[in-house]
Amino acid sequence: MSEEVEYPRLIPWMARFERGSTLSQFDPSSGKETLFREVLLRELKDDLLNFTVGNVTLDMKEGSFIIHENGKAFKLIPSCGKVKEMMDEYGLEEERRRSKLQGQILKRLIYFRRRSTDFGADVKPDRIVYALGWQATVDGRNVKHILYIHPNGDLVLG
Amino acid sequence: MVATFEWDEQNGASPGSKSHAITNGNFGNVDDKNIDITVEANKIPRGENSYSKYISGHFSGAYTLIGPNGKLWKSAGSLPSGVTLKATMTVTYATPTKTATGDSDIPTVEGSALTVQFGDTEAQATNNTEATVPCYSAYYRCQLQTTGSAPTGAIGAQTITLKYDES
Repeated sequence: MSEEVEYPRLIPWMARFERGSTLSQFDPSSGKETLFREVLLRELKDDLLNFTVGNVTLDMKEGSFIIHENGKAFKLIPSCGKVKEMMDEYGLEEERRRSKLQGQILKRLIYFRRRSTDFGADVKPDRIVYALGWQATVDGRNVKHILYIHPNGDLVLG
Repeated sequence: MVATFEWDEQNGASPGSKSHAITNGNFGNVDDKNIDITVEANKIPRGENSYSKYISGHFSGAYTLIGPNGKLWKSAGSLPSGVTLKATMTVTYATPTKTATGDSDIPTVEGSALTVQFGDTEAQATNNTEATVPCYSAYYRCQLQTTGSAPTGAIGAQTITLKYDES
């Protein structure tokens, strides 16, 4: 990725919960900002369905990333194989059977902005990469999938 | 909004005084911020050190967390023979002097970058993440050291990069 790309300062997020409620980083009418911590607080008591950053939506039930582009949607399932193979690989099916969350594995939302800022001479504009993903403890193991969203459109699964 | 960020510098006899939003990190033969290196009295005599500098990252505005994954390194610029840039991260401010700080050369690749931590103040910046608004990084203490073989004139552009996560 070119270092010369002009990075937009902000790609806003939006969270959707069960029963149709939503939380946007910026209120559509007032423009008032909601901090990400509000999502974390509501995630505990409300069921977070999905979380969108720019053109990428994270499905918290399935753990998949849905990428919207040119009027089409692509689903990215964090596995190099089929869903079932991925589930088997991580023991997710077994964990799902054990889970008391109506067949769902408890996933914790991951969202942050990774910012680089320069000082001195020849400084470049700040570079901000958005990270979106989930973490779960499966059979005692830490399973984590993060999609890095570069404002120039690059997506990198980490 | 992303968090508002600025570089601050502490100068003077300990505990010193803080200047916000400094515009350059020039080294010199004086304990001051935004040093004008064209002023003769500010130039570092060959074979001597600059005054040490204490610079910190200052975060304000709206955010949930600053950190983790704070890193600092020199991302661009080359130093001439006889000139080295020493650096460390510290929570302790001491009156800047020309005495060698004893710090190591500043890392020049991200992989070996200095670890940056955060806190309510620079002196309390021992946390990987900080939720308080405003908050600060630890001090980036730096010093330019020269030998008798250092060339005359400015050393050329050096770029320091701070990288961190915020939400």
